[in-house]
Amino acid sequence: MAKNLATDMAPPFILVAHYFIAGAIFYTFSAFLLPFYANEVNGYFLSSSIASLMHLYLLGFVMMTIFGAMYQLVPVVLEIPIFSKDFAYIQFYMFVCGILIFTFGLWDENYTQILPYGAILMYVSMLIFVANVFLTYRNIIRWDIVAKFIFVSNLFLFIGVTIGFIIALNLVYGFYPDVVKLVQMHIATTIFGYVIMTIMGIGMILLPMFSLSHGFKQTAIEMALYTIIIGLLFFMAGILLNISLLKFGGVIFTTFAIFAALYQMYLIFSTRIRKQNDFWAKNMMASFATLIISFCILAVGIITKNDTLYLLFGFTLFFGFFTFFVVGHIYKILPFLVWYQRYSPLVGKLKVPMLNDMIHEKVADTQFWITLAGLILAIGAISFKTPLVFQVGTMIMGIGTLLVIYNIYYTLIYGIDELENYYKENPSS
Amino acid sequence: MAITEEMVYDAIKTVIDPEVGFDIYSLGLIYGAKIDGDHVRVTMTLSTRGCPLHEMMKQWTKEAVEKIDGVNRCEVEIVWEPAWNVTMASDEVKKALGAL
Repeated sequence: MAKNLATDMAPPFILVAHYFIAGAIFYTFSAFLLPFYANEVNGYFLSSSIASLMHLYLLGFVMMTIFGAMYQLVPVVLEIPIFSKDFAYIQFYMFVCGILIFTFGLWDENYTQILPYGAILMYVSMLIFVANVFLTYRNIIRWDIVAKFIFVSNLFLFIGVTIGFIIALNLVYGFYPDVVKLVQMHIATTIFGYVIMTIMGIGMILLPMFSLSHGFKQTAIEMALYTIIIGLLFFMAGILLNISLLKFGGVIFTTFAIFAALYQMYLIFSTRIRKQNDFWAKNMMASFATLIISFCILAVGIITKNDTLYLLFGFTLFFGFFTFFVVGHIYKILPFLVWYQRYSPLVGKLKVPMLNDMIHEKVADTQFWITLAGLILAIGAISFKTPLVFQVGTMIMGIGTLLVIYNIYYTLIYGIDELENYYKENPSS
Repeated sequence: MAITEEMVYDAIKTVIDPEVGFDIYSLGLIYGAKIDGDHVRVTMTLSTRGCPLHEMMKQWTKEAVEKIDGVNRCEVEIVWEPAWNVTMASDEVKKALGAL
């Protein structure tokens, strides 16, 4: 009976594992490509090879992991099963193929003609995801703040990937000259409208759950929801209508929303009961610190019109905020999934491990400090335009990535031998 | 032998929250147990509404109680009011979590 109850709501472990493992592989891949981009620190130049790396990292690691986590979290948060698990598998394979073809086509000028094929695969795969989420919403009972965030962020994902698809086609067929406008809208809707809004929304479940926080008000996050929607709509209207004031208003509203959400996270952390600064808590603190730093850099960049600062903003946001937030949650969600699959049927029959036991704490701790040290070096290298230091910093970050991979492996194989013996001795279990 | 609340709570103490590492009774998640002959009705909560262990916790509690001699059926209801907070946990849990 336990198994029936579990599968009614939660997706099979193997489905989410697909996304997490692929995410980890793309993470490693992009981390090891980073040192080869050292010369880019000499000047801000949005080349197609940078765009290729950014897509590899954002789609392959950040969004891949988010999609996997959403298949686990959406049913739990909305208290309804996901519309279709089959859709999720189809999406996964299309998404992986799409990323590989698309990023390769973007990276190597000689293969630009394959780019639209990758783009169409990715586009359809994300449409499947969005459709799966919206069809799940048909049966929603409770529209709480998290449900609202997930819904709106998926609307922005739809808009963002549609624009992205148009950009990809335009890159090859060149039918629209003002591509910068499209790129700006694509970045705003996918990064801020989808990734950051999703993080804000699921953060309202994950942070209180893992820190055991209670009794905090939600006014700040509610303000964040409405202001980020207004901000993004203003920003896009400003671009489409060529009204700088609207665009600037959009940036102000969006920045306000992010700081409102950060204030909400602070409220959650200040009421937390679990005071241990374990690997998860450290990753969360580093993620929010790098988010604040990146926006301070952006503000100075806008005021001084300094291109290096835009590069620094993007780097700190991607490799600071996103990395720490996603890695911190991989350390929480993956052990849960493995535990759920492997140990939950044995509760009461066998001494089962705690979730934290399924992560090698020392490795996770070392990984955190190594990644932080590498990131600081790389940020310094971009600031002072020193490619060699950038190479060293990103190589150190690469070592951190390997330690994440080790911990993922550690979790995936945790207890296999012990359980094999148990099932041999208790074949009826 | 008549089933007592103490017997029910002792059984529930075998259910451990794998994230926090304490049993759900000491965490203060159990709001009450009503015994009607061989039928037990447990009212409990969870520390977070979006807890992925929602169904499992309910199931483990039910199974633990149904192991008691004389219990024929156990129903578990999850409620959200009053919302759980750490003051509901035992002193040992509060101390371990750093809340005391």
